[in-house]
Amino acid sequence: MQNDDAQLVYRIVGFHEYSKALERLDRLIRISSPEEMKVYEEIIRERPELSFETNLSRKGPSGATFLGELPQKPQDDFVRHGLGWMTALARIELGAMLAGFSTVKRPFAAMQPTAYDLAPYLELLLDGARTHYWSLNGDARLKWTMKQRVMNVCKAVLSYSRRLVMARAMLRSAHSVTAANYTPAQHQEMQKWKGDMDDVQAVLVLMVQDVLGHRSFTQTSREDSEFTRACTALLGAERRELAAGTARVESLGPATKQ
Amino acid sequence: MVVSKSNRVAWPLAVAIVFALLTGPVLAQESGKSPDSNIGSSLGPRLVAAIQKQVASAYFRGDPVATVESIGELLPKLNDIQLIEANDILASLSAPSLDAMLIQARLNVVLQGLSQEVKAPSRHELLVIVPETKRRVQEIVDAVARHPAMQLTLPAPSEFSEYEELFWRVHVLEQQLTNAIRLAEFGKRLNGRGKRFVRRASDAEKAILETAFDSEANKLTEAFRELEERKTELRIQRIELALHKLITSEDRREKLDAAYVASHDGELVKEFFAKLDAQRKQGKPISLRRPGLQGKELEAEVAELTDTALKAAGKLAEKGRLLYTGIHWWLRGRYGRGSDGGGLLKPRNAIRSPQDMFRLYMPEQLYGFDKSQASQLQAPIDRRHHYVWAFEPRRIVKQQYNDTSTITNDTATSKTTLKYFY
Repeated sequence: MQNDDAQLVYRIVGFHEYSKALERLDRLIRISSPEEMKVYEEIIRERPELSFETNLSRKGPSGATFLGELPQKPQDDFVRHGLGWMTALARIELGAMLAGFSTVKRPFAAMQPTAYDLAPYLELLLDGARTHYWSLNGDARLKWTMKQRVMNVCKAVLSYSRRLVMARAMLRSAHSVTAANYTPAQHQEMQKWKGDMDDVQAVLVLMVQDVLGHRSFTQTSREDSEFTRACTALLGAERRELAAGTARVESLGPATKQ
Repeated sequence: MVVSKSNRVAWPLAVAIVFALLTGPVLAQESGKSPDSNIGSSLGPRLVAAIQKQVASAYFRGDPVATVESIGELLPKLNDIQLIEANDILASLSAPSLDAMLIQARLNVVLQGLSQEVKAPSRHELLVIVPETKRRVQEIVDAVARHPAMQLTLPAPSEFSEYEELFWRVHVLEQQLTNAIRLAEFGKRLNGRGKRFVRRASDAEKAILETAFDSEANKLTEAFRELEERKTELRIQRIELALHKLITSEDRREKLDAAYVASHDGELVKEFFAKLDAQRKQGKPISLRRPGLQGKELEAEVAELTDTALKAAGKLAEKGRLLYTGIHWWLRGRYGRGSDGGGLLKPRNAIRSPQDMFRLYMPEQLYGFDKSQASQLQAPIDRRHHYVWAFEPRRIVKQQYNDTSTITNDTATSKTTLKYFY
């Protein structure tokens, strides 16, 4: 990680903590027998603070989708509990932090899932992508922001742009982990989401570049220079997303499952 | 449960509903308008701008130094009516009053060890801060007397789960004592500063300005030392229990817990004795208060006890350590709150200071997800990635929505449109 990246990412609560958790829990999973794993799961299931809810995207603005999370049982409340869910959540949070606040090449690949947590990982990753996409899609403030003079809304532009970097990285990663498992309808929906977000991001990136051009002549305070640094980092992250194939010029790979 | 909670920092504000923060009411700033044009009429545009762009912005950014400085500059410029109007503006932004903000920010400055970065408090500040500092210090002095680990007889639980609960309470008290000692030292400095203003003060003001903190500071320091010794005694007791369980228990899980306890407590007791040794070598006088720690052979006996337990544990010792420390870090990632950015961020110097990198506010009670009490028992935030993208500009407020909590931006200019994840 570059030094400028570290300045931002390490300040985010959870980055250091989830990294340490994964370091330990991944090793534990590697060296333990199935019987021992059962004991760990029993310990975890007795502690409600280790449970959390999934499929959060259903609670916000949503739409008909082929990419939704399926209930695991009738009347599923989507509360999940278990070591695999814990490590998956840690990976998603870390990947998202790296995606939004660093120029690390493949942010989600930095904490790749194992066989033990692949299924929870995919659920959480897609849930993240759905949440961000639907939320952005119904965001009147975003549309308003894009019509303003950039210098009046520069901070909002930076944040929205960062959110798009994060959401597109999630979508890309969800697709790349199990591309073969998606149906054509799912693949098509992912393409549409990607296209929608790319369109918005193209406008926001131009606005950020405009801000940077202006600021280079006017910045005076520490806040200004921090903002400039954040804009530069964002553009670096965006370049990574473009290089990784979320740009308009490239599309997600083909679906193979019929 | 035997998860180590030894490094948690108590979350002083209990359940946080308001995640206000980041850089403040940016939308209001960016549009260049007051959120409510009917208020602040006697203030004039410069003061209104100072309140919105400096005070509120610093507060929402979670920057206590800038908050103290900006309020310190603003207050002398305000008369009584303007002060009320300033508070109205802050209320319209869902921010606390200037005094409440000042107290919170000034005490955060102290607790974060940033006192050198701000000016000494003014007379007005002293009158506001001294009583609150005294109240907080006294609260902890009282808590010490009630704490189960500080009673005449030390508790001796027979199950790990009871020890876990006890150690958690000890840890909470430790953190409270650490903060209270800092506040008491700060109180002593306030007392020194207050002497400058006593001559022109009324009797009531004089009583505040002359508030002494020496007695509380001494009591708290003594209590902190004694608590450390009592904690060590409890750990030795727990290693004995672990050895007993490792030898007698057939239960796989109980043995895992015992293995972890022996390894964890063994290390901490060793550290305790090593610290004493270091002090001896530096020629510092060692005076242990607890008779249970005073035998000459005790250190060697505990080391032998730990070795025996670890041998009995075999590979379980490492597995127990990985599991419980892994869970510990995960809980910190899930529930921890930083000092800046509405709890989403650590202080700026975290990257250079391991202590600041580590330090987090943790809730005293972890939430988990309980459908029957969904409104009270959810984690402070559902996913960090729902919010961190808004690093700079947004005020984030947690609200209930459709049976769950989401985060909304409810700045006055955008109430009608934004409902989700801002």
